[in-house]
Amino acid sequence: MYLFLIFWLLFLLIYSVFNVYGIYRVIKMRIKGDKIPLAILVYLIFIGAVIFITFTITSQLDWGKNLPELLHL
Amino acid sequence: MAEYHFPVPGSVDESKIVIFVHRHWASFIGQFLLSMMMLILPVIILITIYFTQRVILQGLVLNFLTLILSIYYLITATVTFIAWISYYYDVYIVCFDTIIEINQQGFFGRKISQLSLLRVQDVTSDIEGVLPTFFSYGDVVVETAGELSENYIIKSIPNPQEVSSKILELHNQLLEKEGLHHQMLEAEGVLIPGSKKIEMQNQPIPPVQESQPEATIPSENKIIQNDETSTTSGEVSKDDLEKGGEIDLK
Repeated sequence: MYLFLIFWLLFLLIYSVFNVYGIYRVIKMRIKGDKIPLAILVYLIFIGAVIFITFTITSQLDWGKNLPELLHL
Repeated sequence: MAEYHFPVPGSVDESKIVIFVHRHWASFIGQFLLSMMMLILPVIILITIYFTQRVILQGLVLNFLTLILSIYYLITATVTFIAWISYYYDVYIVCFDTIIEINQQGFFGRKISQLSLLRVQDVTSDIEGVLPTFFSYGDVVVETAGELSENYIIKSIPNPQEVSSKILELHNQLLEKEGLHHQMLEAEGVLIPGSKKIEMQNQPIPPVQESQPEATIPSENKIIQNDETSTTSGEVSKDDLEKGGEIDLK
């Protein structure tokens, strides 16, 4: 079961790198007076909320079980 | 044009900007609603399952579902944000001498095209559909001159008629400034070639010879020639109107 968590953390790592570079590019091409800071803030809050909720739920779940055991293999 | 005052990145001088316009917000409604639906749909499904088949949401399924939903929401948020960036940074700038189109494609794609206003030949505004008519937004199609002429489309901008007339006005101003207006009219066959020189020299235009076939001279040219000999302050009589074709101003 830990395999799922490792996959998810790996996804999170790639996702974070992609977003950091993406947001950096967006900031570089800003037009003065635009609404980009607010949009980025909302976007980051949303991402943060999703990750926080996921961490909260996953921390309460049992990840120690063996996958073949669970699948009755 | 509320965004008139916005400065522009790069080399464009702010004082030269006449129109600075984003795509109309209504053109983003479809994408926005789709994203909202994608965000809300899993919640509705989960609530339904919770109240009907609660047994499913246990053990392995719950673990798996938590991670999958997390990935799903993160990807949906990113896709929505990228779509918004693409919409928001689609910018059109009309300067005194050029039209600049900045087309944003996600985080990592940006296409900037520039068109000289001297190359503009025809400008059309197009409002089509229920939403565009309701919110008064649409496309402006700028046709360019030249052998490899191609249409330059300014998409989904507010008040397209206003923008198209402004582009044409700027085009005419630029032609006047460059002294090309007369040449352009001559090239289009509106004026007789060389007529400007005759006016400048203040010489009377020689009458059209009878031997010259009438079909070779466009009717517009004739009216211009008649302007020299007739007064322009008179009225057009009913009889003249019924003549059709040539009308002498009395």
